[in-house]
Amino acid sequence: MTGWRFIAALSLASIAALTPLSAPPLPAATPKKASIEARLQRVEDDLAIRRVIVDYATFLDGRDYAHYADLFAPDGEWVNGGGSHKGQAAIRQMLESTMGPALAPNRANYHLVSNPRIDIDGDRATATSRYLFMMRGPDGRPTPSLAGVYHDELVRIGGQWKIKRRIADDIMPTPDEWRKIMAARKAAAQ
Amino acid sequence: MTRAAMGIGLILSLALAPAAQAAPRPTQLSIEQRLQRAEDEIAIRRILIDYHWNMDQRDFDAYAALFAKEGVWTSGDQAHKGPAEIRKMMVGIFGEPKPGQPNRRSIEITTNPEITIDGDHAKARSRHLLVWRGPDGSPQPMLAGRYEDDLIRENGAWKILKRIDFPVMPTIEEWGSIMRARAAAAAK
Repeated sequence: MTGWRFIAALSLASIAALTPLSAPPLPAATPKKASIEARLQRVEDDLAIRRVIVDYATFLDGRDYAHYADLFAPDGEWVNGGGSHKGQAAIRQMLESTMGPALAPNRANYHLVSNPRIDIDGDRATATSRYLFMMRGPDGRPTPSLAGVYHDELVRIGGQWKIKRRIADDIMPTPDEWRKIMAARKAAAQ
Repeated sequence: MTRAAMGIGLILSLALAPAAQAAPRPTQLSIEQRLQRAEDEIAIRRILIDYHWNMDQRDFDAYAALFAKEGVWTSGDQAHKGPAEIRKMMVGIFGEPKPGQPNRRSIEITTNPEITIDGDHAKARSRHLLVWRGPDGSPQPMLAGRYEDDLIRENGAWKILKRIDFPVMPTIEEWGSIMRARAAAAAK
């Protein structure tokens, strides 16, 4: 299962320190003086970044580790309360070591991603989005199991938007509560 | 075809032509107008998302600033007009925000945007799912609802002119008793 969530937890305060919550949002309105082409580029960038956010869940749930890692920049970083993994190889290794064989059919859980908020500044962008992680319940019903916010920094490399850094901020349950819930599930299954 | 029939046909096509042109198809708009539409759609989607972002962050100034000067928030028999009154409503529900104490007890999922733009006016429909921390910390869906919005472009920025908040499940009455029970439990 998602063993990487079990890694010893940093405090929520350190997540808050990493999270660019206080950064003022860029003005949402496009400056009218920008050229048609620059304005179109911005619309295209917005759509491309939305796609990165959704592809992330597709590749994660599909256990497609190669494509998942390729969403990141070569020096891209994935961070959560348990620590950080930097570089495509380390990010791929993180999944391979905790989530089972690549491309194995996964019908045990999936991620609903929503609420994209994207601010573009030339070849860089920031984004937040939300995730609701659903697991098969004891009777097979989808059960909301984890909800949180992704905080992303993105960069354009070779014309493609890549994740420079993604912070997965698990909001509910807390890492301690998650460990207890998973332990109880494991005990119930035995 | 007779001359008379051709004449009737011409008159009919002249009569019908203005009606057919009344709603310009995107292809009849200039490239810049079509681009503006796409930008407007993105800007309005962002308002729908920012509404819940600001609510969940308990940033009531930013929340109230999403409304037009004459903007109205309404649900059932409640209505609040103008950003100052709307901010006051939020403080009434959640209390004054406490800096350094982020809200980690609830999260709103915002979905199903349907946006129709007409120049400097727009209409939007969307849905939301309010998720609370359950007893063991697990996310628990608490309230599912939908919104109907009127928006206007005010000083170049899209603002909410009217938001109607429709709880779907539970009902407004059921939600009221859940909230009262919660407040009573918190007061103990």
